[in-house]
Amino acid sequence: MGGMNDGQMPGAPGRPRDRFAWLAAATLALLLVVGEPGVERELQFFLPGAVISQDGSAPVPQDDPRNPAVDAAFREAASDLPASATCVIDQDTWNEDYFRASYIMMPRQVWPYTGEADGGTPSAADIRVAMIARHATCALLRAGTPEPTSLVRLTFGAYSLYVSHPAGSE
Amino acid sequence: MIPAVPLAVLGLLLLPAAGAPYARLADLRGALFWSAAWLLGCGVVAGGMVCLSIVHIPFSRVALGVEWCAIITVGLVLEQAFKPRSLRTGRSGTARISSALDQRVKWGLVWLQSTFSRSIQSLKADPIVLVMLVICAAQVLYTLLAAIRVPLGSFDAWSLWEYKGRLFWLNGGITTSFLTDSASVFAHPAYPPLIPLLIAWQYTWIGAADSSGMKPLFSLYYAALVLAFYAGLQARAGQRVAVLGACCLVLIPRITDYAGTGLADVPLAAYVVAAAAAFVAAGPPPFGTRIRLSSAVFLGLAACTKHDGLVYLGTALPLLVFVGSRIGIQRTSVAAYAVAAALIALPWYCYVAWIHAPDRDFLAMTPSNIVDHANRLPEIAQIFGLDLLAVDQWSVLWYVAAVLLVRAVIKRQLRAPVLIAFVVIPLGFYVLALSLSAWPDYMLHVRTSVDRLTLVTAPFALWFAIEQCLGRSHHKEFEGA
Repeated sequence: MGGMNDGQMPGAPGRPRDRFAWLAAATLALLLVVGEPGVERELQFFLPGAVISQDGSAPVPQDDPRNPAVDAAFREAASDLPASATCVIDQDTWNEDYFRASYIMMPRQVWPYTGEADGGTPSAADIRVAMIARHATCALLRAGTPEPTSLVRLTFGAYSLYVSHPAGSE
Repeated sequence: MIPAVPLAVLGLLLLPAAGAPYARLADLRGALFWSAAWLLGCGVVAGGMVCLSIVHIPFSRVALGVEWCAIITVGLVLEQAFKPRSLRTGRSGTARISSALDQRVKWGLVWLQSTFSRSIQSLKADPIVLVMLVICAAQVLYTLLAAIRVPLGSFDAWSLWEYKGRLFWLNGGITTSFLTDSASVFAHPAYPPLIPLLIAWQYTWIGAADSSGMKPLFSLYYAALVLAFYAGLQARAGQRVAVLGACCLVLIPRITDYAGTGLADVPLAAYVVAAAAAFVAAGPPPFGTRIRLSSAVFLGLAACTKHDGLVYLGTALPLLVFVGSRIGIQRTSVAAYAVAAALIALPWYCYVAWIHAPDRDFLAMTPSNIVDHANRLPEIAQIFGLDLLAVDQWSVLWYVAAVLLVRAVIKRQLRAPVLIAFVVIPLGFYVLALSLSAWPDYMLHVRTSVDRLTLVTAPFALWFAIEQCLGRSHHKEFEGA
């Protein structure tokens, strides 16, 4: 990294290399002092044991604190559905649970029951209309959402899976 | 059954190997060569996967293996074909390629050996440089460990990139039905596909959608960013200042923290910084034409990484037109630069516009929309300003850059104002664009985007600060040369 000064001892007082060493050391010291919390955070990765807390937080930024109960409900629903299934979820088009269901249940397709930004709690008729519009055979409903009478509940959880016909019999 | 870890490592190793002939073709050397080998490798492999999708060949290990062989063969042939005439051997094509492979291996080993021995020599007399190199290496290692150990938790990481990578892997390619699928509109099917394709590349080699097998991609992008930043500074100020600069870069907490999260912002920063580094490394015309063109290629690939890449492309091209004649770059060279970048960047955007791929994050940038939402601008600008002041995210970077900028303006000693343009223009555009957010809560959109948008400008602010600090001394002074 760089050559020696011609005719100069490295590190001789007042020499550029000497000044560089001091400048670099001072810069590093400043950055390390300022970034000390970050260093502490990083050290966790070099220690044995889990780095994830129960709420899903981690020493690296996660702007999406995950809800394990919701994820588990979608996983369970996915396990009961064929890969080609299409479901409607009782959430609007901007709700993250809809995004999460689409992600976890893929390649199954999930649609929100409405394209509005804040759809509120849907009625049984809303769910039925959405299922017909999307050619869906299943619905993911929270507790409190009225279920259409034509559906059969297959799973229980943060979101319950309802199907038009028992999965696999189609 | 082949274990997943070796296959994941194989997938990662094939990427820089694919890019190496193209980096050599571009006449890149040293740290910039290694950075470019990774960045170009990712670019050509993703481009090859797009071609496979176009001809409806599903992604499989065999298909990707054949694609890789084709890429590296084309690279070696091009490298031989475009070598200066004096260096051509006159042997047959196959023999030349075989010779080129042999040369690459020898060249790489020689470079490693000479770099290693030179480094050892200087480290003996320069312990502070050793400390800085250890810090850089530790930070890269940290991002790798974080990438492997922490699951995808960031919203954009799973909803934008991994979702699409997983879908491309499941579907065996990019399908028009997905791009026009309004059920997946939250995942922005129209976003550029480079990162999802690389994720699909890893999943195909591994044989499973295991995010820990693809997240090292992002750590390697981080390493490429650090190398590119080092190379850019090295061209301007010598190796010792470059090491110090790289060390400052890796000690910016936000960049390092985001490197392993599966977000595309660090890869975007790597492409943009590599473009700047290549432009600087090219030196004044008439030399460095190929290196300068590689800068355009990096900018084109930046636009294939994230929409934001277009902002940097849109910043660079007018600047090049404006300052090109002052630094002796001819109009034809400027045009070649623009064409090279556009040829890589624009096909995807034209295609998704043609098929009307749905997108809904932003309102159209029409005069009436801009006027109607202008009341949002002060609040958004304030959020950006407050973010820059967060020492726990950016260390002292923005304070130092601001002080040096004010001082330089007062004393009329502003050096490298182009670097400031790469901070001010993108940030100004983001403030305007976010005022047109279509989210129900536009401030949520701003708060979840601000630090990642700022991230790509941070290396330029740091570069500017270093240039200003060096302003009164000779650039090479610290080298003792």
